[in-house]
Amino acid sequence: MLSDEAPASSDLQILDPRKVRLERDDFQRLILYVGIEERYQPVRVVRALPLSQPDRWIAFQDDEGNEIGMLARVSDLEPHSRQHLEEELDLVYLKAKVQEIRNVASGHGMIHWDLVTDLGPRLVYVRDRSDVRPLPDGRIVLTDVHGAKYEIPPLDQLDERSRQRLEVEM
Amino acid sequence: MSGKEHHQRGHANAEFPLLEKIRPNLADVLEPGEELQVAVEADMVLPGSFGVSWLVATDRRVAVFTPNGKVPHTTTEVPLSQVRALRKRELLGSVLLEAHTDDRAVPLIRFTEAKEEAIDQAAEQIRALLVDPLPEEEEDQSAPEERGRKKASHCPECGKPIPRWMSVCLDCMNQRQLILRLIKRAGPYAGPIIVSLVMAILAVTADLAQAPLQKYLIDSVIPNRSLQGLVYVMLAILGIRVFTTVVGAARQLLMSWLGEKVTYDLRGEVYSHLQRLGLRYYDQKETGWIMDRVTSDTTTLQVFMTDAMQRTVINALTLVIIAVYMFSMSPLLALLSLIPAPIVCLMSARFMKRTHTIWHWAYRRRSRLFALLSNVLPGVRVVKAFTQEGREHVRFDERSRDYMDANVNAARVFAAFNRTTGFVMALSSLAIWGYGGYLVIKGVPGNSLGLLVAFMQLVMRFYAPLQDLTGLSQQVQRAATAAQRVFEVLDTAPDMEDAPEALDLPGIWGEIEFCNVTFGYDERRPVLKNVSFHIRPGEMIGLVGPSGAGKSTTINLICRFYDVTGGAVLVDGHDVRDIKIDSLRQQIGIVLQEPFLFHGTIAENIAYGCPEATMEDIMRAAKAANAHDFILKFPEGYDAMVGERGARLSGGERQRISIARAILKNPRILILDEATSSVDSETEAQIREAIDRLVHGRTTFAIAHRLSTLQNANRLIVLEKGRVVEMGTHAELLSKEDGVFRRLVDLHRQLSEAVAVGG
Ligand SMILES: Nc1ncnc2c1ncn2[C@@H]1O[C@H](COP(=O)(O)OP(=O)(O)OP(=O)(O)O)[C@@H](O)[C@H]1O
Ligand SMILES: [Mg+2]
Repeated sequence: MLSDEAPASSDLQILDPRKVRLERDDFQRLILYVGIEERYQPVRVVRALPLSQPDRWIAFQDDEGNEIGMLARVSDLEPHSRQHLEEELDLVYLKAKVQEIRNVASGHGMIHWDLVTDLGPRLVYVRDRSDVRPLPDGRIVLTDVHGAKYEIPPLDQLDERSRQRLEVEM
Repeated sequence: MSGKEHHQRGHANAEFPLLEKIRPNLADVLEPGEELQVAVEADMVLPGSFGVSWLVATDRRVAVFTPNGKVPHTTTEVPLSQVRALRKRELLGSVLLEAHTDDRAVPLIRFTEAKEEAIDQAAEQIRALLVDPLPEEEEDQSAPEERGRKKASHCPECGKPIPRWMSVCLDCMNQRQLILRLIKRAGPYAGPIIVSLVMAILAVTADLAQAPLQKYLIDSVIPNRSLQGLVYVMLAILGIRVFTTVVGAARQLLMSWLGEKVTYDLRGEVYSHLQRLGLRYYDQKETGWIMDRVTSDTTTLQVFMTDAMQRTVINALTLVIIAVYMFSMSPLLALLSLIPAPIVCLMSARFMKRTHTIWHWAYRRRSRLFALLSNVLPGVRVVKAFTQEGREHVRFDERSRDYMDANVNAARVFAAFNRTTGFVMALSSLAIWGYGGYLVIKGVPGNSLGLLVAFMQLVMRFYAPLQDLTGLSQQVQRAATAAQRVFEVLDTAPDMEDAPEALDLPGIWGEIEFCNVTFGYDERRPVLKNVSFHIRPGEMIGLVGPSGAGKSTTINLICRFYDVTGGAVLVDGHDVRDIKIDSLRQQIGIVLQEPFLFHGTIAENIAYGCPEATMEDIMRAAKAANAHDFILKFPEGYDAMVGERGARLSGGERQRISIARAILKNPRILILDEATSSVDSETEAQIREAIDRLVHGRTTFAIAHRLSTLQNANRLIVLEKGRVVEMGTHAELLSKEDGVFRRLVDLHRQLSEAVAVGG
């Protein structure tokens, strides 16, 4: 849509996935190599679309938060770097996948969700309905009062009782 | 009053009837030989009360009379030879006409806008009589009628003014027409409606067949002690019950579906019509008022079309069927029981007349309540900031109580009516028991207990539909009121529609020209006056000027949010009114002074104008608008919800998102109305740099109070009080010693020095 003009600081830098390499240093921090001459250590990874497209558009930032560039697709990386990136993303973006909804109740101005997740059972406190967000693909993301995310699979992948409890809430 | 009188009242001046009418009255006042030439009636008396006064011009003087008694009383007069001009002064809600002489201004008459047209004409005629008229002032020559602009006109029926944005006079669209129009709208649903009617009629007929069955039971089966007969009758009644239940349920289902469908369609139609209406409409209406029409009025109409309309037919048919049953059983008793019917009908007809007003009253109060809510709730921050909760509560309470009172009043009137009709009907059953009982006791042949019981059955059933029919008037009223309100929206002609031969300009250059543009949101108060400028494609123009000078208005005209009152706006040499609105607006990217974000994610908001944009485009635009970095600071990045109207973002963030939205459109014309007013200078510099690259080759309008924002503009246009006072490059304007721009810059410099010293 936009004409490609000479790159400048306010132009989006999209990294060539073939030139991107990720390593870890001794402190388990991520190192980013772009081509042969550029090296950034440590780097932070940020998802531009953590909910709708978590595996696309990853921003690499230096220690000060300045953007180095963006990666269009995690899957474009060679396997080694890709694994580093995925591990790092999983670490940064804690997201439990909900397997069962055991109970939903409200009290103290919050909604309590009693969940079973892939990370274990948990009682989740959600502030209000706006923190229960349906995504276009049918998944639902809960954000608890601390900002942690819980991903509920599309309705048809839930068991009957969980589904009923969820439907009441939506 | 007859239509003719209305007609004369509306165009009093066209045929000078007033002149003839008052000529005898003035006989005593006029000097011998004085020739009466112009006369017009005003609806106010100076200095400012309502009443009648006449402005009269003769060949010798201009004078004003108040017509009290036989001899009119002269209040003002000026010799014609001294009058050099007649000038109108627009006051609030009224207008004053003054006669100007060489050394003073004499107020002549005052009038409301209702009389303005007639008085304008008269003033024009008087001007023609002036011996030595002054050249007219610019403001005085009200802009010549332009195409596309509709004047406020008057209803041919009742003479009331019809607002400019309406095409019919609502008060004269009578109820019958409204209801007819509604019934016409039911046309597309004729199929299901007929099916449901047939079902209803079958059920009613079957239900009524119980009455003759009962007669048979009482008169033949029971006296004959026929058990077999009893079983048959019981079975028949059971069969009827089963039948009516099943049919009733099926019909209800059908009706519910139809009801929803009708509202859905109507709601959609109203909404899409609303989208076609120009901004003028929205300037004039409150949001709640409009919302009410889309939601509750359409629901009322649904009730009417699916329920009330059918019930009318069913009830009428039921009445006929019952009458047939009754007359076939006993014509005498039938006549007796039908006596109160006309009375009830008469009463309800009279009642109908009153209720329309009552309902309208209640409706208006509800609208006011809604309007208050939708006005205050979005502004709750302001309410709290100024701790006005208490006052808002009082205001709400007032309107809420008003609404309650209106409803109570309506209920009171209806209760009185319902009770009265109920009483009349009770009298009638009393009569049947009395007379019928007498006949049975006397043993008059053809009368039996069974007949009496069956008859009572029928009578009870007769009055239910009748009462329901009269009760229906209530629903018809509601529907008529709702219909009036919905049609009011549907009948509003879009003030801005593509001309049939409008051009499709897929790729414009971006040349913009204003030719003597005059414009006012309210036509009598021009906001832009004779604005002319020419902008070459690709130029960056800075619009500067004090607040209220008309900068945003200029931009509104380029986008054709409003049509000019006089002159023309040209894009690529074409009058914007000749270009398809869509094709024009698609090529304009605009950042409004008050950025508006919709409830949704950041990505959705940026892509609002181009839903097909890829994520990469969106991010590039965000980057250029210096928004990308702050967006990534949100834990949810571009997926973050902005809240209603973007409430979860800061002012500067909102602005940058709307800049990104405008940039993403890749428009030929970019308009930035105070687009960076809420960001700090450094961020602004970055945005400016990004925009500078983007505006390359695009025509750009930037409005800014912070003059440094406009450093890179090719030219600056300085507006003051709706006029272009200066135009030129930065350097040119600065070199004007006493220029407006120079003054602004100096002021800014002093201010920043003061800040520097103070800080
Ligand atoms: N929708 C409207 N309906 C009626 N009058 C309006 C409307 N919008 C603006 N006006 C009036 O038009 C005049 C010019 O307004 P405009 O918004 O063009 O000013 P501006 O130059 O952009 O000022 P600012 O720098 O404060 O934004 C003002 O007197 C304003 O009251
Ligand atoms: Mg403005």
